[in-house]
Amino acid sequence: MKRLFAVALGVLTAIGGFVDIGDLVTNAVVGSRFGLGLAWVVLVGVVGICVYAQMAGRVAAVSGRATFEIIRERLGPRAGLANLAASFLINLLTVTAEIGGVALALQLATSVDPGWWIPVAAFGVWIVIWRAKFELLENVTGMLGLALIVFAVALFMLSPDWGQLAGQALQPGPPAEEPVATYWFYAVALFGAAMTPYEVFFFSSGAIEERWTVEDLAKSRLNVLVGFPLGGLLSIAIAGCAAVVLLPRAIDVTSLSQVVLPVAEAGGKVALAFVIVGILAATFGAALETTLSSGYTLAQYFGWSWGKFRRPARAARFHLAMIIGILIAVGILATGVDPILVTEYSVVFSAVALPLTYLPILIIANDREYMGDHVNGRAMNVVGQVYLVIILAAALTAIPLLIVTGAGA
Amino acid sequence: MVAASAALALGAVLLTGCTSAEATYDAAVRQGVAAIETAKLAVDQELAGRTFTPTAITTLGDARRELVDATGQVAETDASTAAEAETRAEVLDALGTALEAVGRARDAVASGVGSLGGVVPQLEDAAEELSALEQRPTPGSGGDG
Repeated sequence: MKRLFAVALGVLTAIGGFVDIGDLVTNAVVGSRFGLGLAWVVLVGVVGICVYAQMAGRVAAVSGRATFEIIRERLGPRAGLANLAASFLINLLTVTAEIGGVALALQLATSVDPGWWIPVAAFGVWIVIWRAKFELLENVTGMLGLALIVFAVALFMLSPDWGQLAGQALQPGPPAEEPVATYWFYAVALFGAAMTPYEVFFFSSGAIEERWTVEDLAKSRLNVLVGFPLGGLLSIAIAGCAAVVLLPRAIDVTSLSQVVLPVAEAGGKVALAFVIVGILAATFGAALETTLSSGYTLAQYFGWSWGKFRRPARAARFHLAMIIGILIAVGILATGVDPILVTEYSVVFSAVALPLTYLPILIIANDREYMGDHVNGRAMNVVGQVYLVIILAAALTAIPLLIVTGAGA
Repeated sequence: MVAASAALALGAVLLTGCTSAEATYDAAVRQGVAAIETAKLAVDQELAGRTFTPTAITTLGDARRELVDATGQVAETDASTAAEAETRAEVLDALGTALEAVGRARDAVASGVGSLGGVVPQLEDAAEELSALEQRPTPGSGGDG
């Protein structure tokens, strides 16, 4: 159990990054329309986030400072501000979506309109951030989020035609009735979701919260290598379930309630109970993660005192920034906007902001002044640079594809 | 590169602004098929005891919302030819049948009004009606209809 808790940061970060409300729906949409034809994007995303999260974790462990703090110091306030503006706005959109996601998950369990649950969810996020210790927060949400493994179990229970699924995965491309642009729109969205900027900021700030040092580099690698591939596996399992149950019935996914239909079909009420608990934990964990990331990025840029290891009174501006973020999210949701729509847009916009996040991390991970002997090796730099090209391509095509396809409609 | 992206975006905006009535009706039919199939699956699961009642109610509510949305899209789209007007009437009729069936299913699950098993044939009929519309050749597609 102790070993499991040792990778809780990686698990929580990955669950937030790969199976938050936007990913749950996007993966099911992709599965219901393309089968496993976009599974390769998840694999590309998992490798990319492993490479860069490993760098961010190493920077935090070696320098004892979070990534964002160093970006501002190393690249100057102007570059730091560009990074802050992009990541903070996306974060805010994601906080909004996740609080809405918690409300939608509670609706699945109660059938009570999500509008009633939004204030409850927002209060829950605030009180946990205010009162709970970081370790408790990551252990409980990360471990409960593991209930989403039921998607993988359900896929086996559905006894699919594995040859057909493998065929979809190994011969990627859009089905005849889907436009090529739509296929690429979802490819960019999935990639953007896998590499959402807040993941690295949360992961590196979490490493500081857990007081990692150079001696924890192995722990950092373990977190990355367990957490993110697990997140990727869950993504593919969600798409697989949708491909088996929803695609043959021509059910295009538009709501969270459709995402759980294949699980209920496979495992009945027991499996459904697991998936509802998992979704609740994943969306609540992602809401905590993104709210904290908002506080982390602002505080680290402006040089405020930050961290959950400090009492709120000793990090007042950090906590105030998060409270304001939660209130803005509730205000946005009060307009009646669909949380799933918000998160789908946030995923696309996060693809646009990716270069602003990952280029500075690559630069810092190569800076001997901060990293000493722990700078990137040659192989890591080659992989990092290849990913920068992919990231740039995703960033440049995200908005045009969004418009051309009418957001994948 | 930025200029090219902007030009592409502008082109797309112009293109999406010119969506034909037939395309709107087709999209609404696909949306209706997805909603009615969702409702059928939720009802099957409820009858088989494979889902929780609140989950089934939520799923049926979401399906109903999709049908209302599809109906609104069609109702707000003007027909410019007699053929389009006929298609619109047929689509609205099929969506209306589906909406009534899903509404009855939700009432049966949520409030015990009527028999859930009795709604199944109505859901099947609505699904068949929408499916037939979906498979019908559209004007100009070279089909004989």
